[in-house]
Amino acid sequence: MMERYQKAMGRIHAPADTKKKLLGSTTRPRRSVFARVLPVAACLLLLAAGCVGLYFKEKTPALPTGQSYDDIYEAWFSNAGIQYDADGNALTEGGSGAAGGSSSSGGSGGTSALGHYETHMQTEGVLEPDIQKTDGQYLWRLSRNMLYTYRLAGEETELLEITPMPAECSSSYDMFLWEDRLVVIGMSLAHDPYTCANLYEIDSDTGIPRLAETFWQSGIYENSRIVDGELYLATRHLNYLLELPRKGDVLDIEIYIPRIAIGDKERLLKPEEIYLTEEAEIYARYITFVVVSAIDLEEKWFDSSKAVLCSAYDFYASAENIYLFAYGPDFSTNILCFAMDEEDTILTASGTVKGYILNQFSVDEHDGYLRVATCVVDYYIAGIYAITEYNAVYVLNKNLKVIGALEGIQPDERILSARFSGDLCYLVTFHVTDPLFAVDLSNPRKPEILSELKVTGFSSYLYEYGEGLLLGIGAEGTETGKLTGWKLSMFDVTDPDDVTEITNRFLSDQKARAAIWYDHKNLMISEERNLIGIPLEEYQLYAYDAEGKDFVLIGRYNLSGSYFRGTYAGKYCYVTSTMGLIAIDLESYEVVAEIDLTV
Amino acid sequence: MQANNRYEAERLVEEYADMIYRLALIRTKSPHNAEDIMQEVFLRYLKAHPVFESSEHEKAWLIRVTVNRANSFLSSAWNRRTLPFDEAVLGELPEEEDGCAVLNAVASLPLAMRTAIHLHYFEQMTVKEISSAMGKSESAVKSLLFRGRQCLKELLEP
Repeated sequence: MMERYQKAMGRIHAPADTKKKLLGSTTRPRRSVFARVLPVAACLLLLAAGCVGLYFKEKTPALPTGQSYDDIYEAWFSNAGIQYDADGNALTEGGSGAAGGSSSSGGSGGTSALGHYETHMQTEGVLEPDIQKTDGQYLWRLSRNMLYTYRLAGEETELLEITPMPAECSSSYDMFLWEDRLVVIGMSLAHDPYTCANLYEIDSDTGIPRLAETFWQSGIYENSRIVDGELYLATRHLNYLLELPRKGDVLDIEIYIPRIAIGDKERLLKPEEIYLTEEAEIYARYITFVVVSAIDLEEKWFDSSKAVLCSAYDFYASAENIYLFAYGPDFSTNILCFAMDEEDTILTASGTVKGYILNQFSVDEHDGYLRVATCVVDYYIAGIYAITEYNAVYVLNKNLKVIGALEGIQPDERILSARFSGDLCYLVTFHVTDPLFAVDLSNPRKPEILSELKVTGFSSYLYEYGEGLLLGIGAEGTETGKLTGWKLSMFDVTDPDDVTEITNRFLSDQKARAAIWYDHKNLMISEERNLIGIPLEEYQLYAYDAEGKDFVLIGRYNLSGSYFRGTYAGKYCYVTSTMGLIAIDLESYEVVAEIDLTV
Repeated sequence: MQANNRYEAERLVEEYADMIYRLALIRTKSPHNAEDIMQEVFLRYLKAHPVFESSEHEKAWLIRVTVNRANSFLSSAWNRRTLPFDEAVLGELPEEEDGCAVLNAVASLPLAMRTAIHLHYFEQMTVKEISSAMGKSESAVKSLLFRGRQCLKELLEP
């Protein structure tokens, strides 16, 4: 058995070009902008922080904050003694809370009044970032740390400008279009990772962005949202300790405290801005924080910045709250709820569920409840070593206490996609075949399975495609569970007690990893425009024929490069990649313009 | 001094690039992150100028730094979405299709367990060496190896 491992692993080698780069490297790592010695008392930030401190908070925080940096050290130290043990040694589960959020979800994926495509929003009104944005007239695209500005005009589409990212930004990941501004999120990986939010103002005559301000926050980029002109930015800040301190050792904890900065004015987070958890799962050699800041894009400053000691791994935002998901003891997930508040974003509740969530679509806040679908993995059951998985749906109240649970869904299968819609949750699990479950959540205390539909393959992404229709994109498989390629499925969910598959279309037998598996933003889906764009070996465009109950292929388009993004504006569809752009006329379905960036 | 470091760094790359890449890969399951980690490890070496007493010491240092650098990529939301091993990672089709199965099985183990398994069965390190590289006690390492073998048996020979 282990010889097979040796053989297989022996076939893997470090990529040759990375080696070449390393051999050619003689430079020392670049000093990050924070290596400069700066006065902490930067007027602007102190003023803002002072104002925040004076403001009367109506919501009570769910966790204590520090009163001095010594408190932070103590809290980290006592948590760091809790090691993640591969045995899954039990630790007591915790969770306490105070007031939480409300309001409903409801996604939107289609057009605005101007008739152009927008990045899918899981929650209405909550902007999500992506590497491409358009306002119908211009298209901005991030690629290889450059920002490309195109003017969209069918046959006359042209590349206007290539704007390199600021020098300290070693890579860029996400972008928002907000009013006449672009916010580009990137990271500096020079020494300790920092995340930057670069605010660009778009010239109304030319569509070309110009850098106005850069906000910094320590840590690796986790996720972000814009709601009402406020940018909420979450990062994971980890510091590795070469030597683990023992009780009584002196540790200069300030070195490890997260920081924020505007331009080159920086400050440490204060102890009262840092929440202390008790049962987090923290790697002993790491002081890990998740940092959540609210940045006012109009005033160009930090409205608030908070941190929690925890190991966060995922993120979801409703219209009023940000939820962070962190590793908890015993294969569980700690959920931390921050109320979005432009005056002061505070941690209002914390709770725990078993298992781990798959992605943002496994979570939904609705009518004051938080619903979470998880996959629970057990490695050790009743004295016997066994690996089992089962799935669960939990309903939590405003205080993030579990008040309803449905566990043990399809043991030995893991969750592959989920989608919440009002009182229903659609869940896909898979081992050999794909049950698509419809779970009724109308009674939050008693989630119940209404129906189970078995089809071959599984969907890795579910999308509500209009009244009573659920679109699934995922893999096709045989009856015995062997995966054969990719497919589109359309399900009839008008009666959740009896969900049926209307039709499916096999797309491609491409076996290699396809981007569509792990990032839904690769897909362009608009039920309003009836367009489904999928990047496989070629970029494929489909429409759904409701009368004929079938998917209709509009066209297959060749475009080299990677990280494809489709969008439409007016009567054209535009597809970009790292290597260029094509414009497709949506009446003739022909390519009317091609821009090749490699030339 | 600078020149010396340069030659040393080059020797390290030639000798250890594969080891670091493979370890980073089994920990993060992402070729992209594994490449980034490779770079970070060597950058760290250039910054820290450690002086090694022996090649075991050198190897242990590099492994420790790789494990630690890999930790910072672990909880990444992107990282969790990467697919397990497939032909793309293994290169041309392996003669036995099993290559993917066994790599995926090891990759599905909990982090500490699969690190210990990799260091023991692929890098041929002893329990003592692994315990120093991972910062765990020898009995914890033995436990990880024992349970790891059990788990793999379940996965590969049901």
